[in-house]
This record gives sequence, structure tokens and C-alpha cells, in this order.
Amino acid sequence: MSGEGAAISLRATLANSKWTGTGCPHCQQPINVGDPAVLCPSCFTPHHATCWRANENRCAKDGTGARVIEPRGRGAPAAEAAPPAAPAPKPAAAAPAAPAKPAAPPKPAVPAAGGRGAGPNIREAPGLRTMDGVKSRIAAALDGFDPAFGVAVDEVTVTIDAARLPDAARILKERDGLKFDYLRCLSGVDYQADGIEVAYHLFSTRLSQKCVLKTRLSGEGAGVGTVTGVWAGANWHERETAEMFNIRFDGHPYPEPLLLERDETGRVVPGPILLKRFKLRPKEPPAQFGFPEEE
Amino acid sequence: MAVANPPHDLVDAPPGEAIERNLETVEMTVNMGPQHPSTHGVFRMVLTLEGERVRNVQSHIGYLHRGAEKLGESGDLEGYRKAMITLDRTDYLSTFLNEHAYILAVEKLANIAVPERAEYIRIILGELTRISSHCMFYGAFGADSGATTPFMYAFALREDIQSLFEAVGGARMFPNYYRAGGLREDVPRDFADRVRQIIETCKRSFDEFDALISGNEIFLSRTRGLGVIGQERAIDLGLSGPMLRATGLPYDVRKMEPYSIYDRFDFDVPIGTRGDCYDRYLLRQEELRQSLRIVEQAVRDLPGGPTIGNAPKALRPPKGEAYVRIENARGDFGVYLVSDGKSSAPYRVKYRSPCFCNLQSLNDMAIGAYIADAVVALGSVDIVLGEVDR
Repeated sequence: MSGEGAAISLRATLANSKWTGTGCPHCQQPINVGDPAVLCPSCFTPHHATCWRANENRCAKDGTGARVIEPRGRGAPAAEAAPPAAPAPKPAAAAPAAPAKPAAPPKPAVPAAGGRGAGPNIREAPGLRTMDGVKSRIAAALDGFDPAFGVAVDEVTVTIDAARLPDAARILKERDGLKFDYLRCLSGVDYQADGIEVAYHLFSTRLSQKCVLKTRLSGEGAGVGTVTGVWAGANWHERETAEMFNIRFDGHPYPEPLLLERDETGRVVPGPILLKRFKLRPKEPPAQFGFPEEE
Repeated sequence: MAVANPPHDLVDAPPGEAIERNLETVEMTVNMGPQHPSTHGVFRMVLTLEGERVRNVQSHIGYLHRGAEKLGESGDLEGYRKAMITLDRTDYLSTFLNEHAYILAVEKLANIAVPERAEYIRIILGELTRISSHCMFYGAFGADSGATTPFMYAFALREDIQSLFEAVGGARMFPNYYRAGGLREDVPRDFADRVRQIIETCKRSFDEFDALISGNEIFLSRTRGLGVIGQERAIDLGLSGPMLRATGLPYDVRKMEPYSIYDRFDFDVPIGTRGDCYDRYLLRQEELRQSLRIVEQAVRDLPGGPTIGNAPKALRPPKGEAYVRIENARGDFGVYLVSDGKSSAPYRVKYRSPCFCNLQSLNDMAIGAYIADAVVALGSVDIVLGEVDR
């Protein structure tokens, strides 16, 4: 506590906010979607932010005083720059959508004026973050690779043939407008008869956009080229995925098992754990109950 | 001690260098771990040493691999909860934060809304977990550098926080408290008061922590300038958390891709300038204070209301996949959740743990340094082997 009494944060009024449409006790007008609002810390009565300030930072119902905390670095609340009031997705506000409110429209609290809520130094380019924008730029860059596009809730997925994956990865990292320089995650998924999918979750620290690069391998023993030359951090990820799914990453500098080990014959034990055919053994009851027979 | 007749080109060299260059050393391979007080868990380093200098590090992990991802797929009736229970036990210092990540992935895939009160409580518990985890780092890092007192102070504060967790979730470490749509049950009636007491204790403790070693000459000389990683290399390696922020990039998932209600809170993201171990230590000390700010604001704004939304008991998200990442105490923790729409357990759940990625930087940091510095560099990564190995 800073010792100055209560503080309340400035809220953006969304379509599904609890107080949308209720009347502000100060001006008797309804609080509409897009109006910055505050809630009294003691009685939780919603007020317009301007009305709260006009009332000497006090609640119009019970007089509780509280100062309003301005969100820092996330762009201005409505007083300075008008946030998009309609809940329909707006290009600059749509992505990266926060995962916490899947039922709500993309937050209008992210202003169109390029603030992403990061500190002042993050390299950013406003307006480049929508799913459609990412998809069109990837489609343009990977033109000869025959990509198949999909959507994973709020990210674009691009599926490429395994043989050409390292080249596609390099293009995604280096092409202007894409610049996916951060490998978030590299994982395998066993789809049994449909093969084994390797998914590369990517992020661009400069342009603040994300996508998923995927490839489908035919099954156990299949291989795809390594991307350690593109993202150095893929090193351990590929080692782990290779041992867990019994696949290969050709060209990896040190293709040894990471979490598991090899036995004397060279096989990985206990085996490709994350394949669906690898069953977790149920615990067997002990062969003998009670004490051993006395002689 | 001076060399009797140094060769010509070493005449003007400083004495230590003359000795080093004149000594003939043999490369020695030394095993460190998996049982070792300084390796922060069961982690094995095979060091190739030339005298005291590290020439190569081979890291061996997997000693704590318990198959959390496979177990996450194996639940029968309420498999989505079972995955969370095994997830608790991977990073045992960031339990509430990791639970939050997993639950966000489930809610994202199944499109479940969360009531306000539950959001605020999740934020409070998550940030208290971050404080508690950074306390653990503080104690362990002090111990790595040779100071044994900080450990006791840090754990005294952790006790308060963990007894609050016990009151809230039923267990000090593995509360299994979040559910899709909110919380398992509401918090005890004295929750807000206890949190305020903890806030007061934290403020005194954080000043004590700083007073103990932050300005200590020995600590500074052990950590300053050690383990520097450049920003481009850090991004290439996929580092996150304080490792990446120490290089100067304000990469904090709470600000870049705000999840839950983090955009309502006023807090700063500290970044470093040099990217060395001391920067990482200072970063985490400052993050303690910023987390406390968030807790203060959250407990002040804590609304009433229900703590669970509408989620079916037998949760079956529709077919699809979701990737959610949050800011763990150690960095960018991601959950990749694939559902086939039919079974009661996830089809695939992959945990992208920050320590796993951060630990790849050990070679960059330790090679060329003294063996004692390798220990300090490893400590500054703040690894939890449960999370590295899953």
C-alpha cells in the first residue's frame, strides 16, 4: 500500500462486463461499452471514470475515496485516444488475443495506437498482428511450398511438407514482415494412423506476431531436417522429441537421447514414451501376499 | 609469486597471466552431480577442466523425468484434472502459476468464462507464488555464492506464504486448486486480511534481503560480469524470463500477451543492462517488489461473487488445439493442449518449461570461467529440475 488510501484500476467496459448498461450514480447516464469505468472499492458501484474524478475521486453513493490507477504503457484510456467501442474484432486489437476470455470479443482495451502494454523499449510495429495479416504474409513468403493453413483458436497454423521444412523455417525467421526469431515450443503429437505431427510454435519479438509451423511425418522412424541452424534453442527440443516419438531430426549436431537413456544394445529405454502404442503398465499386485512360508 | 625466468613475450604481462600461460596443465574430466548440493536438484554436469577453468560442459538431464506429459494423457474419468495434478509436481515452486497456464489452455479450448472473483484470486495466488519462488532463488543463489544466511531469511518468508496456501488450497505445495471456469472452492473468510499481513511482512523482508547481500563486496565480485549472454543469442536460444530480461529485452508475457486480467494492474517489468548474473539477481529482487504491487492492487480490488463459472464436471473440450503461455517465475511457460473431442483426458499435453530452454545457455556461460563460477552461473538460471525433466 502506498499509504494514500484506496486505489482502483481503470476498467474498460466490454460487452460482457457486469456493469455494462447500468447507470452511473453521479450523472445518471448508462455506462456503455467502451467507456472507461471504475468500481468503488467498498460498494462496487460502477461509475464513469470521468464522473469519479469529477466527484473528487469519491464514490457518489457512499463517499468512499479512492485514487484511480492509470494503466501504464498500454496506451491511453478513452480520455486521450478513443478505443474501438464496438465489440467486433478490429485489426490491430484482435491479436494476440488474451487466452483468458475466450467467450469475449477481443479486448478493446488494447488501443489501436500501437500500445501493447509492454515497456517502452520493446521493438514493435503496430498493426501487424492480426491473424489474417500473418496468414497473408506467410502465404506470400511460402508461395512455392504449398502450405496448408489452419486455425488453432487464435493462431495461424501452417503445414509444410517435411522434406522442405528447414527451408521454410529459415524463410519464416528471416523474411521481412515475418521475422519469427523466437521458437516458443517444439513438440510432437502422435496421430497414430495419420502419422506423427511436429509443431513449431513461433513468435516474433520484433513484430509481436505468432504462428505455428507444422509438418506431418509418416510414422515411427521417419525424419525431418533439423532447425538448429535456424533457432539454436531447438537443440534440446529436437533431442527430446526424437527419443519420445522415435523420429529423426537429420543434421542435428548431437542426436542423442536427452531425458531417456540407451541400454547396452543401443536402444532407447524405456522406449518412445509419447507414442500412443506405448502403454503405461498397470501396477501388478505382488506375487505373494503375507509372510513367506516358514521352513 | 613470480615466475623465475618468464619467456620474453610474457615479461610485461601481469603476474597471474604469466603463471597461467607458463603452467602446463592436463585436461581433467570431472563429474558434478547428479547428487550435489550445488546443482539445484538432480542435474549432472560433466566438466572438462584445464586447471580451474572449464573447457567444456556436458549437461545430462532426465534424472527427474516422471512422464508428466504421458501421465497427462492417461486419465480415465476426469483426465483433465489429472493432467493438472501431475503438472503441479513438475515445477513445484510455481504451482499456482503453472496450474493457471494449464487451466487457461483448457478454458481457451473449451471456451469457458471465468468470474471476476476467481480471476482476482488467481492473480493474487499466482503472484504470491512468484514471490515465494523468487525467495527460494534468493536463498539458493546466496548459498551458491557462499552466503548461507539468506537461505534462512528467505524460507521464513516462504513459510508465511505457504501456510496461506495451505489454508486456501489444502496443501502447502500442491494445492490442485484451480478448475476449468474458476476455483475448486472459495477462499477462507480471512483471506484478504492474511494477504495484507503477508504484504506487510514482505515489505520488511525484501528490505532485509537487500541489506544482506545485494551490496556485499564478495557477492558482487562473484556475480558481476559473469555469465553474460547477448540479446540476439538469448533470443536464438529461446531464453525467457529473467535470463532474457537481463539482456535488456522487456520480454514479459504478462505485458506482451496479457492473459487473465493482468492488463488491469499497474506494474513494471525490470530489465537489465549487462546480462550477467548480478543483473539477473537484481531483476528478481525488483520483480519481488513488482509482484507485491500487483498483490496489493488485486486484494484492494477483490470483488465478491461466485468463484466458479459454468463448466461441466466431465469436461470434454471440442476437438482442436490451444497453446497458452504465461509468465512463470522462471520465464515463459507454455502449455500445448490437443484434444480429440471424445476422450475425457487430453490427447496430448506438452509443457514448454522455461528452465528446459534456459538451461541450454549453460555452455555459453560456463565455458572459459572457473569451476566455482560455473556453479554461480547455473544458480543464476534458477532451474527447477522437475520442470526441466517433466
